Amino acid sequence: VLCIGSPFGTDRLGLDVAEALKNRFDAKRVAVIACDRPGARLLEDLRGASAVLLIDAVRSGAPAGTLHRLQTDAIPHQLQRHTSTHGFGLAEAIALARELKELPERLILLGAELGTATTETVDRVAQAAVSQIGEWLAEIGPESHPET
Amino acid sequence: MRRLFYCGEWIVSHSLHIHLLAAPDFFGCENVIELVRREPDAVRRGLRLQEAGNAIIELLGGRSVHPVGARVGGFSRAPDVEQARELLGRLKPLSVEAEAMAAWCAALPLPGDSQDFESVALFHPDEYAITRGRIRSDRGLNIGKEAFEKHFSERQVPHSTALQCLHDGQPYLVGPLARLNLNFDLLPEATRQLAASLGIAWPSRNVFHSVVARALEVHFAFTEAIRLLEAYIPTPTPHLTAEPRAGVGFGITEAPRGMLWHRFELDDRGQVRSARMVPPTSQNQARIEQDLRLSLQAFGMDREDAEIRRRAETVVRNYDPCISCATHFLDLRIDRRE
Repeated sequence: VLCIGSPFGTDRLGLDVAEALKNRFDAKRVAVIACDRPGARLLEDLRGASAVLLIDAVRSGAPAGTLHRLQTDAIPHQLQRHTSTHGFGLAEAIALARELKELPERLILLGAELGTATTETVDRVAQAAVSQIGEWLAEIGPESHPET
Repeated sequence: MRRLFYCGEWIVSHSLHIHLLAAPDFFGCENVIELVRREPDAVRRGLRLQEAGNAIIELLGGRSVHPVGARVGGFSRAPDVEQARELLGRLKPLSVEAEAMAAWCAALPLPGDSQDFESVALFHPDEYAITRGRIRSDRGLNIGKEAFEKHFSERQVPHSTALQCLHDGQPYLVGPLARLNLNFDLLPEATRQLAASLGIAWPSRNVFHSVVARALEVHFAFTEAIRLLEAYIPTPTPHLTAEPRAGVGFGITEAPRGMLWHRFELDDRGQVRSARMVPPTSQNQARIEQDLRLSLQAFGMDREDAEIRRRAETVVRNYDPCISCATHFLDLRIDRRE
């Protein structure tokens, strides 16, 4: 679970989610990583995992508080317009990993629409994300990646 | 430890710039994704080198979130000996990869365009300067860091939101090529031999050689990091206690993109009264504009707009401006007159 964010304003969402997920799962099987604007470094974090869930702030024009959920194939296409707030963005990192054949088998992006959201909205979205992540991990379960 | 930290920063920044920004331009690719299709092994090698740089930064506690490593007076803690040894084992085989990358960069079809410019960098008689030294240039400048403001001034220009720093009113170059031009003789023997084998005469007046200078500095940074880690003995005092007192202090280092100058004024409680930082990007700003003018004149304007745009973008990206500005930065309007 890669939680992307920065300490600034609503962009802290990813870091908040990482904090909330801390110590909730067996560390041998599930890694929760907080990434502050990782750029190309994301490739390193994607490597070696059978399933990855990314959470980041996105901008698509949807109302603040919307939580998008995109599967692998939808990600690059969608992100061409929904740019992340960071420099060498998520879209580029995922496209590069895809080209290098380093994408994990399963990849999901939770994209939180935040913009000028209030603190309450950010907290609510973070809570929603935390429960979605919990459900997702239960869903893919231990049998889906027995090598770990 | 600070020098080792910087070696990590240089490796990460240079490797990313070479593969994500510079090389696609010289291969005629739109971006790194296209470059992967043509040069997959080179890109993978670049990422391996960059990741080793990240590992150096991590050893010193520079995690990407809530960094805990560097602090006033030194570092929060000295790295563990076992971890340092592991890292050393990981870095050693990569020197050869850095060598191969430098040869790959030197073989890029770089434009041959000599220009007249001033190179400015830190100089230290005992080492390839990173964290200490005097400010020198190849036109005779030789000053301490406290004298920076007497010789360098930043200005605003109407056409840009970026500050431009000038040396006695003139543009100048900082960064890998400027450092190599001034401090070539202080590189380790292995890096000098590698540089000599690449068929480029150093110092160089061709700013496009910056990409090769960056690759050579990656090789240097690996060599230096290995040397530092081999000699590593943990200290019981990773940092000294700093007692706040009123005064003005200066700091200067060679960040990956070039000289970075700081001035802080503190009160007797240690609170900052005023601060000024001059980053390398502002120092190269006027040089980029000068280079654009000279490069495009040398390139010839009797060409298709797309070709001119391409060359102009290549010139700008060659300076390693920050990634987010470097991918969408050029608003090209050509006013052709008969």
